[in-house]
Amino acid sequence: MRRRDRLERPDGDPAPRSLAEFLARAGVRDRYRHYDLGAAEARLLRATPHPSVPHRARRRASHGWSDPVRDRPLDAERARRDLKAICLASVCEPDAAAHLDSFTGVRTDLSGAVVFGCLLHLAGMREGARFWWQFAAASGSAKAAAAAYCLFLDHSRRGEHHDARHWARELGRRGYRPGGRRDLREVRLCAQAAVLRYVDQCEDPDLGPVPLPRAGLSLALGAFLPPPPVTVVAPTAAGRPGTGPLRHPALTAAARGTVVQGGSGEALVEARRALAVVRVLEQHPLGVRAAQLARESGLAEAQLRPLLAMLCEEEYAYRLGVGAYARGPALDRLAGPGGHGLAGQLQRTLALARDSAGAAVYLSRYAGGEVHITQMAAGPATPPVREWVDFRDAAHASAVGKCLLTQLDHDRRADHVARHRPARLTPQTITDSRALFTALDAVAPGAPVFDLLEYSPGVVCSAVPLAMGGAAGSLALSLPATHAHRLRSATETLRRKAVPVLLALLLTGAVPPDPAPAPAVEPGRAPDRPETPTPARPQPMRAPVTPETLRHLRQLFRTPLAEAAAAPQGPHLVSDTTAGAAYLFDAAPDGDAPRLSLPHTFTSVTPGSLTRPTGLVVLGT
Amino acid sequence: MSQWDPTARLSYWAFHANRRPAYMRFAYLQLGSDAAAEEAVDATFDSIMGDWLRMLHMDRLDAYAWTVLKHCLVDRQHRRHPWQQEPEPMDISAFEAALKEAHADQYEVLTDTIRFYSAVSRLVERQRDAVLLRYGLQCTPGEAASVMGVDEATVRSHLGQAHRRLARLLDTTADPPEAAGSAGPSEPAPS
Repeated sequence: MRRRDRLERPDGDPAPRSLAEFLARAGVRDRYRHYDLGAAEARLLRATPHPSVPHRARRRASHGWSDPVRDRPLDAERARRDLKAICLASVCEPDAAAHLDSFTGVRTDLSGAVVFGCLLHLAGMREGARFWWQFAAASGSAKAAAAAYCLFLDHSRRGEHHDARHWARELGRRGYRPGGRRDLREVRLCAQAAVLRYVDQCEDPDLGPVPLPRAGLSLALGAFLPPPPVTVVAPTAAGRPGTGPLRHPALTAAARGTVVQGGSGEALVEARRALAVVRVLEQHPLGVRAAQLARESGLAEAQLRPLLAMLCEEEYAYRLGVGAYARGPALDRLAGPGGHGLAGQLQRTLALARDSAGAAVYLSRYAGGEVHITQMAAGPATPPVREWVDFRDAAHASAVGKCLLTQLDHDRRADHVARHRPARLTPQTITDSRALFTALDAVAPGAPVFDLLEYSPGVVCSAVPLAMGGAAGSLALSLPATHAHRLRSATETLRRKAVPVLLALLLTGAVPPDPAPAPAVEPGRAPDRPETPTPARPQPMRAPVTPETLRHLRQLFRTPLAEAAAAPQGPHLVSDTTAGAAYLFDAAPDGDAPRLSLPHTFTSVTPGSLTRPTGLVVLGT
Repeated sequence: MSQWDPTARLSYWAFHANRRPAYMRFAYLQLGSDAAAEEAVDATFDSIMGDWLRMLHMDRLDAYAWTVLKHCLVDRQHRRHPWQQEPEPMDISAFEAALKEAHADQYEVLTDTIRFYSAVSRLVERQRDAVLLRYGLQCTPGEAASVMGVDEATVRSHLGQAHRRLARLLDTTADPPEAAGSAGPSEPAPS
């Protein structure tokens, strides 16, 4: 030891040197006083910025906990995340409270010291946490191996790799392997405050800050337990297709590898049934009795009754008398020129949804990589959300945004999050993109997505998915936080209201009426259906002409053809701005002007790519 | 980098110009050769360049950059061949310190600096870094704090703890007053 050296040198310097003299001599030469900064910059520019050393380390240890033996030196970012995860795990252990209580009493309970350190770390008292981990880990007891792991991570987090190596060796000697669930969750501010209330801060000149626990600290543990309904729990009755256990993300990826499917499950099935009823109603302009309606639409009485109530409310049907129905004015409205008919009808539907749910409702879709609120209905009693942050930048926080993101595949989600960095809008906002994706993956297809004070401190929201012709869409509502108890029932109402919205889209052809393409038009197969009287020309772009398309065309042409009638004499294409299709019209065989009775074919076009002020596009050949 | 907006590019080069000298000097003390130091610091800034746009959103950008530097340094140290005789970091510092001034008795100075730095090597790493920056590189506590990316008060408390431990290790008067943190290191000790 130095001390002995010194004592053994009686002839040495009689006056021991003071520390200040040592310090004064400690300065080193400045080797780089005239350093060529320009050359260094040129070198950096020449080098292609390869994935950095920390990145390499991160990739190697991307699954589960980082291993103190293998992952050395450990990347600081990863160490930070792991440390937070192990602190959460330690604090949430079932016997954490017991350990902590015994530690508060005698302060020699090593397991309690570890829990206390983790609690301090989570509460932001990093130095104090380190003290108690060192206290526990230095004992060498097997019970405190977790403390050594915490210290390994804490040193790595700060780039103190030599000190980290010390603990890594210690852990390697003991054969310690971190295990258990690795949960990355945000810690709420109130939880941190709860800890600080039970901690006394002492200051030791040598050891630095030493926090001491106060009795009752274990009460603060509860604040760190995982909140049961974070964002994505669907409060619907069990057994519904919307709810379910957590899905494996790969399943979601597989299911959503392609563009969104035709619709949102249950609601779309219901909307198709409603469509069948509307179709029957149209065949009977003078009205039809409910029994006949059920027979012709192939629905049971019990299924028909709620549908008819909905159709009457939305004015697709009109009740002539007891048990007799006729087509309603909404069908004429829908056939209005261009998109106006659809938009008008949707606005009506939204207003009805607002009144029955008692909340402001929003219709949105995901287009061009952005969240668009296309229509909304609010009122004095149902105030809309104040858009304090652009909705397009808040997809990670708002119910609308999250609902749209659930309908995207992983790449498009990642792309969206890369373009719109998740910002912390409220303490509840999920800002970690991995945590966000995990939350999104946990949403079963078709289930509602919730925003519990994540976008705005005073507002709760929910959204149900609504696939609109291949694009992601959603129907959402917002409630003031003081009405949060109504959120569950309002969301149920909202789910029902997805049906008329989908019906309007189905009627205008914005959503393909049948998810599977009809087999009749495949060129290789013999036409076995009577509905294709003319021999089908082999056209690769050819899509099925469903009765639905025909009907829509007929309605479409009733009004706007008058103004366009002058132009087309030969074959021509017709499209309207809301539909995703253009229809080819040929001259009828009897030599008249082209009529819509015989649309030979139609091709797929991108919705909105053909636009005209009138809404109707007529392209001559 | 060509796709960065001008502010990001400007901030990166400003950061580089600001930190490069301190990083180089610190790296030299750890690695003991100009080439190795330059290589390590280049790797550091290369890695920082790859991360810069993300780093601009961080609370403590300089703390993160510091961890990247330390990572690169420890990487270089690991990469050495075991049979390659490399001086220990603290010996490098001791020699560098002893060579600084032309003193009548070079050996006496060298003995002192070796004693001092071997005591420093027994400090906790964050105290060691603070001492190296403060007394080795002769930064002010504020400069040391910004290089390490911590508060100045934190550096002062590291230094205070280091003083007490060093005094004990060197068996000397434990009286570098707290003022030693703020006074210039070359000032004569008030004794």
